[in-house]
Amino acid sequence: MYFIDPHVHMISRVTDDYERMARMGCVAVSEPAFWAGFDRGSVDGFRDYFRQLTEFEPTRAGWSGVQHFTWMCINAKEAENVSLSREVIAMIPEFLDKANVLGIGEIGLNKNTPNECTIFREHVDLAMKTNELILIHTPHLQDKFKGTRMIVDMLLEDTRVQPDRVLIDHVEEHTVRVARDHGFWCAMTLYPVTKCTPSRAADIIETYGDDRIMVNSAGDWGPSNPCAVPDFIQEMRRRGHSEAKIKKIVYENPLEFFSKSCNFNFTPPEQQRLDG
Amino acid sequence: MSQSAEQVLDQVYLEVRAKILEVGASLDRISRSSGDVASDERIQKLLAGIEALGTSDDNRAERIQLIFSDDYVDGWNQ
Repeated sequence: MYFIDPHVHMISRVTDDYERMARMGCVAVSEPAFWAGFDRGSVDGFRDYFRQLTEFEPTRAGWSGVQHFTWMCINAKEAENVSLSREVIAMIPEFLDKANVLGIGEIGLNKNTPNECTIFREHVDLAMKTNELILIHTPHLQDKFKGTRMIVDMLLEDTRVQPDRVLIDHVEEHTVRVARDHGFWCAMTLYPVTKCTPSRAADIIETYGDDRIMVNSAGDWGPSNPCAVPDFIQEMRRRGHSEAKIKKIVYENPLEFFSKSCNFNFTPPEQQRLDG
Repeated sequence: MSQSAEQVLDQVYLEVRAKILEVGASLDRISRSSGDVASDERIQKLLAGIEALGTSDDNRAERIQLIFSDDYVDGWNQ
């Protein structure tokens, strides 16, 4: 089955991972800008990172036949540095017209601090002024419930925000409802210890349905598995769910959401084969 | 849900048994070790989570998540 990983940090992964993902059916990835494991010291550090995401990474993905899309932002962890964050936000428009950029993300909260809220709102303002989609990171562990509620509150503050153009990521059992009830898209991240397992993600699908929801690996530089989406597919098959239902979650839903971006120039795998 | 409760139980029984054993062994390991963590908030949360497992409703996972979550204050942004 073809699938799209809608959230994976491929710059942290080796080329062999692209190849393994492709062999398991991955046809496209979307890579939000994130915290690289250390705080960057200048706006030029981010500019180089954004060039990597928009220039080299699509090329590397293409070696395995995987289409690469990306998102621009300064992440919530580094947003604690407000002055640097504002320099980065001012620089982001340089990249919004690049061929593989889908929008602003992954913005959000980390420790739910006032500075993080300030920069979150400024990212949302940029997205509204530039008519971009938004991809949102929700906090980890004990901060997640409070942070997700705060994020939804801030999105609802801004009357320009259209919920169906926003994806709230890393939802779990206690946060999926607040995201969906307000009309946002949401995604579950398959991390075995700190987020969702494939079986819990399948439980959430069975409880809340398959509309406006997707699953991702969020593979990065830490312990993670870029082939986690196929694990979810296998779990759904084991439970007897139809191929059509599984395909909707791992392929059609990401396509529907990403297609709201004018930069989502996706070539279906059937067409790729015809094109040679 | 396309599977019966019995089918699901057949599939998860050994896995859940193993997880419960792991929890028991982990708590035993803490007890055997030097020092006292009985008043540690994390132990209290673990015990509250274990207690939630014994209820009969169908949203245990969500309730356990909330036990391990910071409180949200409505109107924080007013």
